Amino acid sequence: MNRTILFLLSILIVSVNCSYQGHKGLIKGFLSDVKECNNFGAIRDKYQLITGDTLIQQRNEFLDIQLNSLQQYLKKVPLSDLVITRISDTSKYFYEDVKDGEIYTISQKDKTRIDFHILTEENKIISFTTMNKGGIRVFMSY
Amino acid sequence: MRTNKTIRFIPAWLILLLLLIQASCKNDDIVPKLEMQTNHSIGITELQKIYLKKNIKEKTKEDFKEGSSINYEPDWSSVKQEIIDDSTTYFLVRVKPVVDDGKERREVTTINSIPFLLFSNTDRVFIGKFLVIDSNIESQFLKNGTLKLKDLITNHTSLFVYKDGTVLSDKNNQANRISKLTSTSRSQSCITIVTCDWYTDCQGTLYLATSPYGTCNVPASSSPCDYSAAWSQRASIIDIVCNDDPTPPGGDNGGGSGTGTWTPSSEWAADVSLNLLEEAPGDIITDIKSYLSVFNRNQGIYLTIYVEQPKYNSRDTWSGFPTDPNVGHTWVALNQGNVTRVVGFYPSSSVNPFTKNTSPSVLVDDSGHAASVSFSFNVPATNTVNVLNTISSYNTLYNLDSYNCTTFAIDVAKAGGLNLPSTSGRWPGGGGFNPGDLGQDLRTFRPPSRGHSFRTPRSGSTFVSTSNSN
Repeated sequence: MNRTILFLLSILIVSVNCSYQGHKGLIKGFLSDVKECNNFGAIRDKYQLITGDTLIQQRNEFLDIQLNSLQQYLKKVPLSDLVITRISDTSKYFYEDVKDGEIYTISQKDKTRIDFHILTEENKIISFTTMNKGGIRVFMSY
Repeated sequence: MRTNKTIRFIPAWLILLLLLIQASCKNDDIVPKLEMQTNHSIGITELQKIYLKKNIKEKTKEDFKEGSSINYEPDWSSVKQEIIDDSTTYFLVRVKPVVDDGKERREVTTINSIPFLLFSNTDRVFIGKFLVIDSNIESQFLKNGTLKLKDLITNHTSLFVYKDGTVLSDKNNQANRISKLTSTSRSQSCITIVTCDWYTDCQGTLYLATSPYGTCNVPASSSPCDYSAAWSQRASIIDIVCNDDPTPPGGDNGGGSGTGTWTPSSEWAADVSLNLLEEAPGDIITDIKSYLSVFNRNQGIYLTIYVEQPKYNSRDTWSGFPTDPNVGHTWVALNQGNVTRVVGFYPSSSVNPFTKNTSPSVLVDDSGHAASVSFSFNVPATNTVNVLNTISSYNTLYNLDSYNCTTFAIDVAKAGGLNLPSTSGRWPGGGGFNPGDLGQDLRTFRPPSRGHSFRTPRSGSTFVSTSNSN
């Protein structure tokens, strides 16, 4: 009984200690992979970017367009210049009903413009594409 | 016996725990070097929108003398920012006092004070007046003197005494000491103090001097006129000083909080207006019928269609970076007498032009949303109910192609009796009515009858629709 409690406590401590940084770490890894890797299929699989079962071909086509755009951007910007900021007020973002969604903005050091946004949930990238409707961001689903 | 056995296992569990922590954090250790910063992105355009949206011009207006008032006009080229902490950034904008009597506009020279606006992130705005002791006021700004900082939302005022660029720590005592001189009332947590300004007219040039806070003494300095001109007192100002002081802004030496770093606005990117989070307009309208209940259904309405084009003066259906494309927006504003309501139609969850082009819809108060084109016309009283019902019974589904924000606005105009031009455009994965095409159509649209007006700024997206609470 005591051992079970200790084990559960261990898991709890680990998850509490690392969950927040985990999302930023996930994003850093994702951006690094997109910058370096031309195999978008591998990136789609690694980060499980496809969440549904239908229209796989269209989704892949859309995702590859987006990944290609992101790669073009990342090739011009040193990773060390990227600023990842977690957004606390998510009221101006519309997205699917995810349980523990976190939204991060990506911008460049010393620049005032937000370049793009990433929606994560449970250490998984849900979306890195938004539509900008006058400041309100609608995340695109995959 | 069993307890002893468990205790023997504790070191092993601790080691296991450490290993687990190390393993679970491993992903962070191997990721490439990325610099983490807290960033509060905001541009001058955004500050201007906050200025308009929060009606700062009216809130800072002060009586001057009978029939005239002092307006404080921002000098947007003077913006400086200071990072206060991880969650707060200040933006300081110098303002120029101008007396306006409805016929003539005269700039005022302040002799011993420097007024400014202070934006705290995007939610709080203060007007500050820094009263210097020395005659060389520019060099003493936020270094030596007294700062009166008024929150334009709560109307609470704070007083800070600066010495050599540092704020004296006992702020409450400072305020109390000042208030004892002229306090008119006192509650548990707030006190009131009076500020007196004096003006003189030197051959057409107006000068303004402020008595030390808490006094109404005639300015000690002589009149700036070559000849002897008397100082006249203008209406005194009563402020409420409470114990909810914000962090005071710092000077060049990092005064105030002692942690700020000022950076000149000239380092800012020029095109910061379109992609900032802070640009987002108002809140979701949860009860549209209640929101529109302010209108008299038996009277006419002045209806305005607002369009923010993705690319100014272009039919482009989107612009910008493909992972965050600006797709523009179309929305409507209804006006009847002094009452205005602004409504836009949005998807409430994720959409995708390739795979999922529908979403439940939601209406948003688009007050403060900057437009590149607008078209207004009078809706006759016989059509007012149609307009209100069309908005209230909006489509519950947003469809990127067949029923989007532009379709909604076209439908509202149609309910008001006017058929707007409706050109379909294309975008990756779909097509339909869109802000780019509607904006261009409206630039040349001139219906044969009924009072209407067309409006577009000279360049860029600069004018804003604003609802009110009347």
